[in-house]
Amino acid sequence: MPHVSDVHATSHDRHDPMLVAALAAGDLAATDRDQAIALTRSCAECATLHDDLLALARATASAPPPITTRPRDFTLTPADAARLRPSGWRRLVGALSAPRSVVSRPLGIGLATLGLVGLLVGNVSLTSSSAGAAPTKEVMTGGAAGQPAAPPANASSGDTSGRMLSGSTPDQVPAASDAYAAAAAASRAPVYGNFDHQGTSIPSGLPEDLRAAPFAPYANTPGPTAQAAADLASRDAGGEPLRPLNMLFGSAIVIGLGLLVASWLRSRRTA
Amino acid sequence: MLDSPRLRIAVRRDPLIVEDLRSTTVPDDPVQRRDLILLETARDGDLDAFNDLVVCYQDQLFALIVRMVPDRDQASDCVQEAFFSAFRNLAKFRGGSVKSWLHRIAINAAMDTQRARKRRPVQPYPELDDESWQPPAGKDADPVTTALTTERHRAINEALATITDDQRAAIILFDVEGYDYAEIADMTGVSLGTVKSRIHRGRLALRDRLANRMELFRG
Repeated sequence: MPHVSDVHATSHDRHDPMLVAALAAGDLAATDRDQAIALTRSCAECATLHDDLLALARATASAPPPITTRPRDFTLTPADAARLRPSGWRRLVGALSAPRSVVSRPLGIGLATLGLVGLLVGNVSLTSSSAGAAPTKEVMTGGAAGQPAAPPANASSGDTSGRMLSGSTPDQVPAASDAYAAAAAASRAPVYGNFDHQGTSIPSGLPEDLRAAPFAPYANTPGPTAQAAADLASRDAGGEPLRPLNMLFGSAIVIGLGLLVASWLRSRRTA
Repeated sequence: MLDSPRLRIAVRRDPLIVEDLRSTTVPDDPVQRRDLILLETARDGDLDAFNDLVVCYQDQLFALIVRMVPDRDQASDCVQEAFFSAFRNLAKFRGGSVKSWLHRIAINAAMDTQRARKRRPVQPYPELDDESWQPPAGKDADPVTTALTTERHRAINEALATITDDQRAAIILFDVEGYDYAEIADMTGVSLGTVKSRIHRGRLALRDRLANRMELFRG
């Protein structure tokens, strides 16, 4: 944008044509307008440009369309209407996303709340029930017959049978985190065969649950194989397989939040 | 009983102010009122009501789109697609002017077509080579004036076809259709400043294209 001193410059090339165009469109106010008027008064080419732009605007407004005759009738046939009418889930989505729909927001809040509560209640009850119970045989044996024992998912379960069998004292029982750390270490350096924490071999004639028992509370026992440790690590990382109810509640949360977002976007557009 | 204070309070109470954003808000303009009634009826499944709207606006929409899409068949397809889209989205009409709503849909269809046209360019305005059409002239129209007017219209339409799609759309909506900056910004989804800039640059570009024919427009 030129300064006022530029207005008197002799070269038209230094003048701002956008300023003149804005003046012709009536978009300028105050200082800019004064500056543009001064420009058109002092520069003949700017004045011509201004007049030309006004003339072009008038000519554009009065010009007929290049093709005046409509080539065909655009009315819809019943077949068109039947094809274009939404059906099935698209109709449902359309009804929910309609501006006049009053159900989408409450439905969204309801679904999201239901999903959250369902997830919380389901998982809290699961956690509390598993915390109160002894480790299951499946957990203690690594989940598969013939596999070496894995440390329990919950090392604070209070099961003392293993300790009694191996002759160790309770203060030797490591913390649960140690158990998982050892399991992870074991996964990096697999150990073959069944050993108790002192490195003695377990008689193979023992029943399976007794063979597995000594290893359960002792995480630094080099018992778990890489497979068992990986299994444990995946459990520790929350890799437990999704239960159908969790999936259901999760879906409810997603759908509910989707409805809320859609209704929020719609309200923004309406505003 | 009529002097009872409770009755006076009841009479004096202002009517409840209910913000009604629905499209059933009856406007003063009879055309808008007609459009809204037709649209509401069409929403209820009446195809004839929608086709009445089509009949009302198909010429306007075609005249608008044919300026933006310089091909008769493509413009025609755009208008048809716009009416299809309007029918599909009847439930999404948010109120206000039905004409603006239809124009917005048609402009979006035209912009989609223009984007596609950039990939597959066609001969612009083949109909302009057809000399048969002449603007309607009055009984006492001077032949020279008529010829000049025809030439002027022809020149401006040719120049309009050569500027950018965005500039052309903004100029047509502002100069021809008479929308204000805010309405154009809403229709095209850009800021108000962008609309102004497109109009100013578009006019400068038109003047540049018509530099050697400006005598037609002066005086």
